[in-house]
Amino acid sequence: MNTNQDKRSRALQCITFMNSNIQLRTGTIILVFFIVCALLVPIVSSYSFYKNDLDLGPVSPNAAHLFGTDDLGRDMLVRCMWGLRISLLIGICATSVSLFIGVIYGAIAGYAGGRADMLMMRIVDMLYAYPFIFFVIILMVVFGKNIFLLFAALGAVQWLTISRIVRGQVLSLKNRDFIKAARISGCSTLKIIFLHLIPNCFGPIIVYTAMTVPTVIMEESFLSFLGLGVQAPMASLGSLISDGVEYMETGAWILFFPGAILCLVLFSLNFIAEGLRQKIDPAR
Amino acid sequence: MIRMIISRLFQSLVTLFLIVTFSFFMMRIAPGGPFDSERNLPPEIEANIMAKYRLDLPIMSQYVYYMSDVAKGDLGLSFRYQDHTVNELIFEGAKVSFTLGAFALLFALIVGVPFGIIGARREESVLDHMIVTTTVFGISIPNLVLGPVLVMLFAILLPVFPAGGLDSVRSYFLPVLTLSIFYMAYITRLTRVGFIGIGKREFVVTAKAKGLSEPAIIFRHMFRGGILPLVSFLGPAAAGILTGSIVIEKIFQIPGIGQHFVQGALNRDYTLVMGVVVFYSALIITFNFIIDLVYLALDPQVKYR
Amino acid sequence: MPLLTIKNLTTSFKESDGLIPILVDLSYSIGTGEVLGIVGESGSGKTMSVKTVLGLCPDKDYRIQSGSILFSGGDLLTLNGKYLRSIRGREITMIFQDALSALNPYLTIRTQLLEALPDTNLSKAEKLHKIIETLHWVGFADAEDKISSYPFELSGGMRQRVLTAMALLPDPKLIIADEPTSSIDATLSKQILSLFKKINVEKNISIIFISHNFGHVASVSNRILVMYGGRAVEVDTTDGVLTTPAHPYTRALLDSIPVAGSSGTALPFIPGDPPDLREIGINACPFYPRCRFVTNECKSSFPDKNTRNTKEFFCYHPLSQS
Repeated sequence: MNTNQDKRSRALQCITFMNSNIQLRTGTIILVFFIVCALLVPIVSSYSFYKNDLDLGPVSPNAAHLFGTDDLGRDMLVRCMWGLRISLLIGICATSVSLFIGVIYGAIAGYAGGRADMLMMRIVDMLYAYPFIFFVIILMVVFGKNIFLLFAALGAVQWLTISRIVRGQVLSLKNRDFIKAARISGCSTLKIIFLHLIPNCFGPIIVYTAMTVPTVIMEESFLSFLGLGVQAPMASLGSLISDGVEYMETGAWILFFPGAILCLVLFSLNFIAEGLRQKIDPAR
Repeated sequence: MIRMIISRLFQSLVTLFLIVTFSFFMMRIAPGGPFDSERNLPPEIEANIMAKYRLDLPIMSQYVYYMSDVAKGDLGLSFRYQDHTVNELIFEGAKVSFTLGAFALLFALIVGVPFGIIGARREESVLDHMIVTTTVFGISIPNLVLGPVLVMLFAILLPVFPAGGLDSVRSYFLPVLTLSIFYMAYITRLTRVGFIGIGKREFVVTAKAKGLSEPAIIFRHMFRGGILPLVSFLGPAAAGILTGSIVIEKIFQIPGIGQHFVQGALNRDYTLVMGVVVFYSALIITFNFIIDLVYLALDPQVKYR
Repeated sequence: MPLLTIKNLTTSFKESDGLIPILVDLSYSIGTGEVLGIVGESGSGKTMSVKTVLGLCPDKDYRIQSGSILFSGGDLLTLNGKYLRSIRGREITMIFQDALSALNPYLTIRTQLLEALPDTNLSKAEKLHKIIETLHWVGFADAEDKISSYPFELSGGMRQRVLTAMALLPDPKLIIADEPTSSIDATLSKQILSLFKKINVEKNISIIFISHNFGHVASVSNRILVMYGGRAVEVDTTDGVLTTPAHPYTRALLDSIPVAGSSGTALPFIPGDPPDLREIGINACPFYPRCRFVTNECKSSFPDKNTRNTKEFFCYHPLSQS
């Protein structure tokens, strides 16, 4: 049947696409590997990520504990994988929030044009150079260290770039014939923006998303490292690294594994972003 | 051109105003305050403290007082350290943080710019490829991994530098290095791209045709144009170094503003946190404004637009 | 003794899929006090040949395979960087096509003109005096006022004169003008052309004048070299080329110049496309795909040099002298 074939070739298309570029290929392979580990390891492993085993204490990597244990006797492999889960989750959620805000803001600014657009973009310009981490920290301090708030806050500060990109695209699409046709046929503004304009911006949106996920993961690691992000007993790679720094002299492995995983995940995400950028938006 | 400067100045002040207002109201919405200790205070003392922090006034009056204080440069009293003003705490930490940040930026520039120029002039050579690859690593490794790794290597395994504190000149080395590496790599890339772009412009060929030496071509002709992308980056770079130093201060136990900020955030010391935000914002906005002026000065065509 | 002699120069450009020939066995020379015009279409190698003389080619993938460039008794191709630099900008100077992009937009013209005077024993004041003098000589009025301007503040004609002055300042023996009239209008072109004549006659400086505009070239040159596909195909005195061309390409170029009074008739042009030297190869006459007189020998080897009075040409089927 046609639909089955289409579905299969779609999956095949995806795979061929991701394989097409050395950066995409390497990045995707590494990332997929980590995602699989993050999902499976905690399920498969018999260790828990939060139950302490104070008699055991910190133990260097061995057959029983591949990544060793931390100062409270918790298995590092499982903790790292949990940390990875949380970091990735926050990355995806926060990026979604920023996409939501930024795309809509940019599309409205672009479509409205004129003074509204100028004002909206002036606001973006003014806020652009400012390091938003401070805002996030304020929000975290004020509203407590809720994980949902964390993604909302992180996402809320990333939207500026995508709003500019989407606005640019909308400005150039605004006068194309198919938009005029939609307007003439009585399509409401809302529909035009959501059904026609935004879908045509997918290219740059995808590239932007690929670039924002690692940025957000970095920022979350930064916050958690300082103690302002995820709270114990939950862990993210950032908080694990913070623990690692504290216990550096007890056991290098407590620092090494989360650090290495964070670096590798960031590398793979950056490679994917670079590969996508080359394919979708080579002009930049 | 004067109009442009004034408009930029205006924008900067408006941004600063918005940021301070936002911080103020955020803080007032938050629960907690200077009384979070478990002690039960007798009502007169409590009233005194409320007056001292002006918490007995309606919120808009508090706002107006705060804004006028800020305009005068007074950032209020710390909620936590009730004997110290926020200004004191900030200036104490600022000496340290500034030294750190300034050295890091300087170091990044001193190393990054020459390598960027060398890479650009020897484009596609083996040396250039090595430079580019190294920079990729430099920008990908986060401070919070790099710092501890450097400490492990150069303070624990090979005890060359101290792992923390700022008691000797030597102890500055690792923190400054860690903070500067990302910027060094980024600056190298920006400079390289800027100079490659300028090298393609025809007037560079003219300069070569006039028989000018390589250094003359680079410094007299290519420099002003080639360095523009870097100048634009310096604004965000300064901001980034300020934020980056927060992590560095934690890793290396350095008593800078960043530490105060984090402690303030953890302790819900609102005035301190707000004070730091106002201070940092003013700094960043001023720096960006100065950079805008430098950019205008470098590009004579802008004067006529 | 000619001033500059290019002998059997063969160069190519290395691409990912092979070598693209740029100049093939090119030879020409120019004497003291002479104006040599070089004509040919884009891609014929006119500009590359002079850029190779001055060592201005992007050296990454440009390969000089054989030949020599003799100047002042030495082979420029064998000179090291320092000597080459002493000739470039001093004894041989160059005027580029587009004055706006050839000048550095961030520096005043005074700075750029000062650079053209090598560190001689003149003081800065003396140098400036010479600069103003030269600017007046090339027809740049109010030079004293305008000297602190930036290039974008000047008109096209003034910029062109600045470039010309820059080329004159070091008292060179040879000036290479690469398409100096191609980006300016007809009135200005006339002025620039008479300026070149003046330079040649009054200062006895040799000029290589490159252009794809036959008319301009003819009005200033003593001799004309016609290039095609990286090769020299014909060289003769200006009269000889204009009145009795030998090579079919030269004839076709002359025919395609629009003539006043011919409105209403079809514009003559040369059919076909510029040659792809990778396809044609270097063992054939590059013009053969577009030539009316083509025979098999044209496709299998490049003709040897032939002479006729002052003319040298390379063709199996030269046009007759009538």
